[in-house]
Amino acid sequence: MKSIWKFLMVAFLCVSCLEEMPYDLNEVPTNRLVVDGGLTTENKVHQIILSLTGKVEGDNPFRPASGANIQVFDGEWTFDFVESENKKGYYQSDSISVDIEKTYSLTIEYNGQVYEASANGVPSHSFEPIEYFPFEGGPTIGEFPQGFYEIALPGNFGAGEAYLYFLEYYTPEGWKDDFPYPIPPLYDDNDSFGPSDTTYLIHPGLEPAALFEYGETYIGGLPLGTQLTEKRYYLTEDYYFYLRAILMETDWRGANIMQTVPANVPSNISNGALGYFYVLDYYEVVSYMSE
Amino acid sequence: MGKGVMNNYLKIKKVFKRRGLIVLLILLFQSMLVLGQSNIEKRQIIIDSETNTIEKLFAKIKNDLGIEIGYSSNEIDVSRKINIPSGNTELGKIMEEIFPEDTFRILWKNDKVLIKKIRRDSGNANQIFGYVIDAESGEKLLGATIYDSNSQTGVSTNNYGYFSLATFGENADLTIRYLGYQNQEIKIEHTKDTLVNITLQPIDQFLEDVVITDDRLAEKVVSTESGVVEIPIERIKALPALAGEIDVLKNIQQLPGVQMVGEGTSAYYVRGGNYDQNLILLDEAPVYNPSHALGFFSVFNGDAIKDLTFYKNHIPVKYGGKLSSVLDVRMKEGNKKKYHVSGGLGLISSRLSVEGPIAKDRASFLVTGRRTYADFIWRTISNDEATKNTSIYFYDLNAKMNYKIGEKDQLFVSGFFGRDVNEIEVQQYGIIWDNKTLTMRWNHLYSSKLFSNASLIYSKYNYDIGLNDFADGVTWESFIEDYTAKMDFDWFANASNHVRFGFSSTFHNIAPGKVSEAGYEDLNMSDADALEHVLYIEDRINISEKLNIEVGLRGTAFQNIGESTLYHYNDDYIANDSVYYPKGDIYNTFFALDPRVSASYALNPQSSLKFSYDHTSQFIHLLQNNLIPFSSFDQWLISNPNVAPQYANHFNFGYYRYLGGPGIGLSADVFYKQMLNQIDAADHAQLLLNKYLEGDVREGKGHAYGFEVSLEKSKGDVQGILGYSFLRAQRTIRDINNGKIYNAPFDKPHTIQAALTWNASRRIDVGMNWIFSSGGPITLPSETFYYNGKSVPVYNGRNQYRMPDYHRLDLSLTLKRKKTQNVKNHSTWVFALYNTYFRKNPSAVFSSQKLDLDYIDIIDPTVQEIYKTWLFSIVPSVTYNFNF
Repeated sequence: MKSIWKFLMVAFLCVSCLEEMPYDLNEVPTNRLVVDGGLTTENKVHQIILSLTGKVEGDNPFRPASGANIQVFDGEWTFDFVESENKKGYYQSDSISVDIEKTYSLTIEYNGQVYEASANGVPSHSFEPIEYFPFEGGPTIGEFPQGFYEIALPGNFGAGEAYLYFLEYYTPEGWKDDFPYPIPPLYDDNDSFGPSDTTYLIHPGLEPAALFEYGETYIGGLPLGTQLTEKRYYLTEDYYFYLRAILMETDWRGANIMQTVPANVPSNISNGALGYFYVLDYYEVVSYMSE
Repeated sequence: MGKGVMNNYLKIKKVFKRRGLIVLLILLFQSMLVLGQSNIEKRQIIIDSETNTIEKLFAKIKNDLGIEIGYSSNEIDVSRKINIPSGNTELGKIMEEIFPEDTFRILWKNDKVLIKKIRRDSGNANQIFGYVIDAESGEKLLGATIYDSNSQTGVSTNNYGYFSLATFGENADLTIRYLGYQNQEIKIEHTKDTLVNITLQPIDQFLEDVVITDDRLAEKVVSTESGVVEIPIERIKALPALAGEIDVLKNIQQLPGVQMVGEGTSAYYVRGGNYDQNLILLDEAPVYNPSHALGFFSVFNGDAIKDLTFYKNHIPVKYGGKLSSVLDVRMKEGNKKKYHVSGGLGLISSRLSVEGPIAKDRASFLVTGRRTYADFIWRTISNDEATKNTSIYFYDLNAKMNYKIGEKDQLFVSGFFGRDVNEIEVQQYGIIWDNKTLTMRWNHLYSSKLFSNASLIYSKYNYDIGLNDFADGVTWESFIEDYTAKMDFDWFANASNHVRFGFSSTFHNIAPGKVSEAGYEDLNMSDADALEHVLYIEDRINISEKLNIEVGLRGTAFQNIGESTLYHYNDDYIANDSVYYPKGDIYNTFFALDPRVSASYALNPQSSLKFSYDHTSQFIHLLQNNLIPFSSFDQWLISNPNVAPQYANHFNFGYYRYLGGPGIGLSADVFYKQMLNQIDAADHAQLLLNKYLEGDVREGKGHAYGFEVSLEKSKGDVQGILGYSFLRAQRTIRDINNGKIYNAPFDKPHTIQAALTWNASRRIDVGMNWIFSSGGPITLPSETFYYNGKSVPVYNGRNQYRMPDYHRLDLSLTLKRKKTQNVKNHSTWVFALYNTYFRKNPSAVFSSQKLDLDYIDIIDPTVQEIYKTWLFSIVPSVTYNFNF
């Protein structure tokens, strides 16, 4: 689908040209605090990243905000996030066990200022595992031998709910030893061979830019016995719109007919800080390819 | 000097003069001649108590001052008593008091005074009425002027070629003029209302070394209309065009007060209004998306167009539903005399037009077509399957037929169909958008003074986007469709009043977006249907030879009608309730009254002041969130309880001056426009298949102000227009730019436009366009932050930066085949250069993560850069046109 995206660009631009343009933005960075982090129901070390805004055109975009005090309160308990010694601006906690029914409050003290946010999550639910079917071969690499399967990653047309989707696939150990033919590469229709990008922001409705950027994607050349592990992180409406706005201002911007009027991404952090503090519940489904 | 002044003066006054005005002209003319020779009105006369009748006053003037008084006893009752204070008084003041200037005209010359009554009473008038017709094709001519030098009355043909002229006396000396046609002079003896169909002979530039002269510059001085531009299609054809494609809308963009945003687009913005605030009519049918090929070309095929009228200052009340301007495009009717084929071969498209009589002088037809052929060429020359199976093209068809039932009745049927296709088979993807219009009209004469036009009108714009790759194929579609019935009347009440009135009803059927396949019903947006009923009346009043006014009132009732689901939104724009209205339920009504006034006051025969006030209302709106001005993904909204109607108050003050001999007209306008309930999309709004779209609408106010100056030359080998405009347009909308005022995207303070044609010889024409404008506002980041591996821009306001200034020069050279009586093919070769000096005018300037410029891929998401796209360097073109 990326080629559609490119085609649309070309169709719009026709005989056009794209070039960098020197422009005096007369920029004066305000060193605003940026919060990137949140909690999930996974049993893991949770992390919140703090940084500062910087100049538009610069070589070091990440400007860590070091020395902050970060606490998260779940209504009963308070959890401290401690800055990593190795990575400035990265604050971590391994003591939180997230309950998706709770409301979590974030408090950050940085440079004499206090920043606050609170977040709820959306309870996850089960879902059907991804379907797979005999692989019919890709248009540019000829027919694959029998015994291979392909999967169609979810598109972005009318999912009805917003979630982050991750797929991991693990081929059976030693399967290549029993295979008599040269091993075909994994194939997907994103104009590339090899492991596919299987991380998706799934939109609840029609999202043209996403549709053209990464719609329904096929991954072929998977043998029987392949393990498919899917995770869904269900998003609140506000957090979805935050992620979508981030994409509108980043990946979806640039010489195309879909790009929207520029605007600041929203934030749920107080005191003029940027970024977002979120809580996510997730659901995992594991399946295996079989005849 | 005297003869020239007189000629010009007569031209200026030919349309709007009324009976008795010739006396004024003569008097004024003569007064100019004697200016500086004598000043008899300043002479003093001693009035006594016995000077108590006009007769005695005249006698005293003759006796004491030796001045003869000329008058008609039919017009002046000399026995009338007068009461003049005794004493030494200036003669001129006495005469002005007894013979007020709104009733009498006084000519002072040497030792004589001539007094004439202005004849504006139509009680004894006879009407001369009929149509003005092209002698060769039988087509009606719209806007032709008819002037009776005896009565000093004049009129223009209406939108249907009809006129009705009040004349006085038994003889009328008519002069009929129309741009591109030989003037016609006719003497008519009549004692009652008389039907006269007047034919004008077009000037054949192939046979005659004649330069078309536009006398309408002079008429603009006295007309109540201001900001009205009538552009004959031939003039548009004489100017350079992008890739040789004649484009009506590109010419509109080059008028003072009209802006374009971005290179190449057909969209135009008038005096601070968005482009959905422009009413575009093709034979009275609205055209909602007048663009082909993503806006590079307009849907109007020059071969099918007769002429167009553009209103940007004062909009007559017969037009409505849009805030900012009206473009009224009229199709040709088809030649009633003989068959005629014309066309052209260009680099982008070819076109063919056939017209001719169905029944000579009674019925005729016109069919024109145009199609691009890049897809044919690709299929022929490419070996790549993907390219071979790619279809990117557009075509359009215009057709018209008319039938003259009798002297009082005529029928017209006209239609337009245009389609854009962008299908990439290998990608299983396609966008198609269509424009359709159908107009059926019946012109009827109730009497010599009352003309009517009844119309049934259909219009539809739709787009379908197909994605065969998704879930076995899905298509989403959107359309806006109108069904209109209307009646328009022209009542030529008397020499001083031309009343226009009418009514209409329109059913708007809007499907903002739906998926055609089953299973996606939850995504579909609710239909948005409405009824729009209109009543209007307007009177063009000739109050005096100096003062003309036009007063009109338009009333609209706009009703939302089911079947529809209306969502209710809270203060945070979140839908918290909905109501379903079954089919036919009228669940909301808006009423709007649009008063409009326009006035012209002649300072002298060459110059006038004009004022207009227009109140306009708009109930159908276009919501956009795109950076480019054209998108096939346009979202049309109707006013309902969630979206208020837009209103505007528009004030214009102008000065017009006709400089006579060289045919130069000067106009200057100052304006202020206040706009209420302006809409914009919320930040990062989702416009497609969003059933809660109205929750993404933000409303506020806007204003625009500025001035425009244009100098137009319409005589001689070199003709053209030079214009300058200053414009500021700003918006204040809740939740946009934090509620602070910001520059509208079409806020371009300075614009200079020049369009010239040079008739170098009988066979060579040269055309030139040059345009300069300030760069439009853009939004660029003031800083960035780093988020999840991406550099995210931060903006300190909307539209706070500007694009580079825009300027461009286009040239064209037209070679006409030498024509003799034996050669009927009027062929031309047109060579054109668009953007002659290779300027890389940006079509967009934006910030983005660092891009690979060849593949337009992001290569470094952590770095922001500023980029510009530019569409055209120099674009040469050659077009062959034939006509036989």
